[in-house]
Amino acid sequence: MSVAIELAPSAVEVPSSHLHRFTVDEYHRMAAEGILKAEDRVELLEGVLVKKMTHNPPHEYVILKLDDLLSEVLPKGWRRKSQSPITLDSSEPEPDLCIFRGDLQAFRNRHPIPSEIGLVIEVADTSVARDRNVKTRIYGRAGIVAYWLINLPARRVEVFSEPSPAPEGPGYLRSESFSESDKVLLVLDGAVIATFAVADLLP
Amino acid sequence: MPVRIELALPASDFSSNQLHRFTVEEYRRMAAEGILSEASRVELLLEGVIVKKMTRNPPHDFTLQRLNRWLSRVVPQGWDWCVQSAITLADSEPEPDISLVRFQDDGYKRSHPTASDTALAIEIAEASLRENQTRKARIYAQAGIDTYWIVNLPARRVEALSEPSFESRTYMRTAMLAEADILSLVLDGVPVASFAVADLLP
Repeated sequence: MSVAIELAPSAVEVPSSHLHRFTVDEYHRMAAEGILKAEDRVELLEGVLVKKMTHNPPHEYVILKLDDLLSEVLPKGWRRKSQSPITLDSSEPEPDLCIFRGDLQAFRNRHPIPSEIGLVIEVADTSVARDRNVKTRIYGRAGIVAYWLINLPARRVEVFSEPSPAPEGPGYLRSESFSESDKVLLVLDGAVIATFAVADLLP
Repeated sequence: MPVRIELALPASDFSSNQLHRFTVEEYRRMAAEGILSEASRVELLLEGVIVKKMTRNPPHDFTLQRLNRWLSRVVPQGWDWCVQSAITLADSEPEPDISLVRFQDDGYKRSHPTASDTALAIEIAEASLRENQTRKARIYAQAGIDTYWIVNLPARRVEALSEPSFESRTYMRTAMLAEADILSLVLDGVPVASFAVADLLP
């Protein structure tokens, strides 16, 4: 006896638990061996190679705007970089903006690490879910003291602080969401460095 | 006024279109360079994504052994069968539980069998049932492997898929064979042997 069954061949998500996880070292070796090329726009997130989103003008505008604002207020000793890697235990993300400190010579052979980082910022339009779930978890568990998610669709800034390394936890113990009429504080080393109107950060 | 944010933690973190895809060649180079080490040789390349192999339970291995013994008796000249060995497809290098391949003098010592060498792929499915019914079916159908059997242990039946379609990336025919049914091995259009489904099941 034979009957036909309907099998859905499409829309199969790979369960996270089935994915092979690479170490940061293996990721670096892939780049060194040319297995990953410059045109492969990826970042390593919890051992998984994930494609980076294509950026729309509003996304880029917000990064430029932030960069302008930060250039005026960053205290001596702090540096900033945009869309370039930071090295964590099992991830090497490339946040839209990263504020960090350290002697320039230290970065000849490595990327900034959590203890040097004062703030990471992601600007999310299509990637809100990933930036809120996966990135929050990654940055928080790594001990990065503060993370701002600029949520373009909602026109809000979500501020995460009090990182927690708990392996099953959400990453940050404290989260606040600010609307266009609010202000957000830039805090580095426990000191308030600047106050930005959320409206000024949005396109 | 700030408000609190609820953080949802989803089961699947990355949708499949966000994952970086490797070519078969890059996959091989990673193994050669030791980036995929011997210790992690529990991996497969499926549609460019490196995934872990499932652990196998005794019922799975029981059925594998039954199939293995049966094939050792019935596989005709000109054909060979491989157990959990790699086959090389366009963007995947899966290792079906059993693959029935054309006999080759050199025993495939230089390269794995390809889709055109492979007449039948068999997967024995327990926890991996959905994966075998969906992703693996898509991969085998798109590669043009004539027949794909899923031994569905939970349902105690064999799902025999045939008539692969490259365009729709699926098999156009599915036969559900229950315990009382007979499985027929067809090679190059000729039935060569048959086997009771009941005898395969643990």
